[in-house]
Amino acid sequence: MNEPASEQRITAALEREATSAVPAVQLWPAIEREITDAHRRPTRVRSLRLAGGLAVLVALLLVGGLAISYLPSRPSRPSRPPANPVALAPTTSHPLPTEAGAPKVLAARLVVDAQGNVSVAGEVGLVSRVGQYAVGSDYPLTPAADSLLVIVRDRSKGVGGTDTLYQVQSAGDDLAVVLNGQATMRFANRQVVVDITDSSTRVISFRVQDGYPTPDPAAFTPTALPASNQLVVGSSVVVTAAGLAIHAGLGSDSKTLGAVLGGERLIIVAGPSAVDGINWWKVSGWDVAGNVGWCNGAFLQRVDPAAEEAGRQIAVGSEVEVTFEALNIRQAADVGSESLATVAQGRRLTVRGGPIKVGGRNWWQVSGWENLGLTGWCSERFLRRVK
Amino acid sequence: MDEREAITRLQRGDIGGLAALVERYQTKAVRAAYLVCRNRAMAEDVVQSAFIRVYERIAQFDPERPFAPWFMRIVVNDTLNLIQREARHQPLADETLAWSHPAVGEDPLAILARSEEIAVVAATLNRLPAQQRATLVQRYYLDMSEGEMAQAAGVAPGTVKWRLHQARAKMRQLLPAWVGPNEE
Repeated sequence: MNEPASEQRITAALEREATSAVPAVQLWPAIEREITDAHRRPTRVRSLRLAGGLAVLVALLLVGGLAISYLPSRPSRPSRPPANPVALAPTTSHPLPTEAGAPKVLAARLVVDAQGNVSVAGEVGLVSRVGQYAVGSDYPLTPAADSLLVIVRDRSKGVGGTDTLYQVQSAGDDLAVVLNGQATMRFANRQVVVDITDSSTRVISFRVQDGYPTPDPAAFTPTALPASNQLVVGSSVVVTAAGLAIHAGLGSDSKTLGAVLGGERLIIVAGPSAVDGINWWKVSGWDVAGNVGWCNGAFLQRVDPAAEEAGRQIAVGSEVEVTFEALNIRQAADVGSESLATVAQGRRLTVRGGPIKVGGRNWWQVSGWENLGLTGWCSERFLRRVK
Repeated sequence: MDEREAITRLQRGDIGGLAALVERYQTKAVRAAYLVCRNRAMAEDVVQSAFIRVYERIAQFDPERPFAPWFMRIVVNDTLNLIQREARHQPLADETLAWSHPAVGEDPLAILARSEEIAVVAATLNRLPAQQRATLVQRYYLDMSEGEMAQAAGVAPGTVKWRLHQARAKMRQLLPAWVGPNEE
């Protein structure tokens, strides 16, 4: 029995969701210690799990060739929510709240190489790579009290750019980020966003004041949103993601009204509105009722109007679809001519001749409305080219 | 070491047998638990505890029986129990994105597309009740039959059918373009 496509889709979606959320697991060190611990305590499991995570992190760093002279007193895995803490502040510098008891040592020297990889220069800190994401993703991560979250945002590939997240734990009195490429930085909630926008080389550094990094104002410029893919209101766009959520309002947290699959066409009816560095566009065409909703513009590609227009043009040999509920096929190219047949909306016809311009409108000779190969004429305004 | 040998060794007290089982099933189990509870830390705790229970109770296990269904049943049931116990638990919206680790050098466009797809699915799962998520996970992620699901939950097969119907209907309501309106 064939499994329905919907069930296969659910299976594939769950598989992807799970694989993305849990790329790898290493439970054995914690389990082994738990079992061999003769005096097991109720809270032991979690602490051992975290210890195991730290061991994996340290191993990863060693593999990466990073020198480590400072190990954090807590596991370096970032804590979880609150969600969406990356509020990309437009200001280049502002004081950040002091956390009671937080270590006032925030220093590291980072080097971003030409490939966008980040490493520690000198033996002054610990850098752990959190992951790589699409530009504009939400990062529900808050760094540990003694660390920073550094986001290297590479927009040199346009909408295909990526964010690479690093957690930096450091000792000393300053943090320097050496970037290969024109870059800008923004700060919020002890998170540093570095935008790479070209291939030139530049060094940016900043120092810690009152426990938090303060950038050199001369080194930073406000970051503008990227060109929004030439999208304008009225554009016909195609969805470039495998699936795209349609929201009731602006932002990913807004209620989801539905979803469209990659390759589907939408019409932009309003926008853009920028929220958290993302251009949101109001679109229609995602449901049959003609409702509108908001979606992430990063996953919309404008359909070339010229190419689309060319594709719509009817010519002899084209296959066309009837767009009117009851279209008359007439003996001649004239509304007063005898009707040979009436065909329903959606019927496919083949263009055999024409056009003839009558009253400012094109008429085409078509066949396919019966089985004998007869031809008749109909108005172009009720036809849509499909091939 | 195959599964049967691992279980036999574990029953003789050799924790190397458990190590083999952990190696084989830990990822699938944590992913299944995560899909149900939407919290990776909780998922890892559940699975870790489940393996320790396996160690403690392996003497009762018949090595002729397949290990995976038995173990996954423990994992899903423990996850649901933990969710119920932790009344303060709330779904962690979009946690998925934060923990994805694409391969180095992967096409950024592919990353973009997958991120959005994952966001759609994650948002939908977050809106389902835990029991419905568990039903979907058992049937579509763990590939359990309705009979196995009924046995695992201690309910009648008809109850499982009804839960699946409800879960699919909810998915269809939330994701019409993904699930399709006419498929059942």
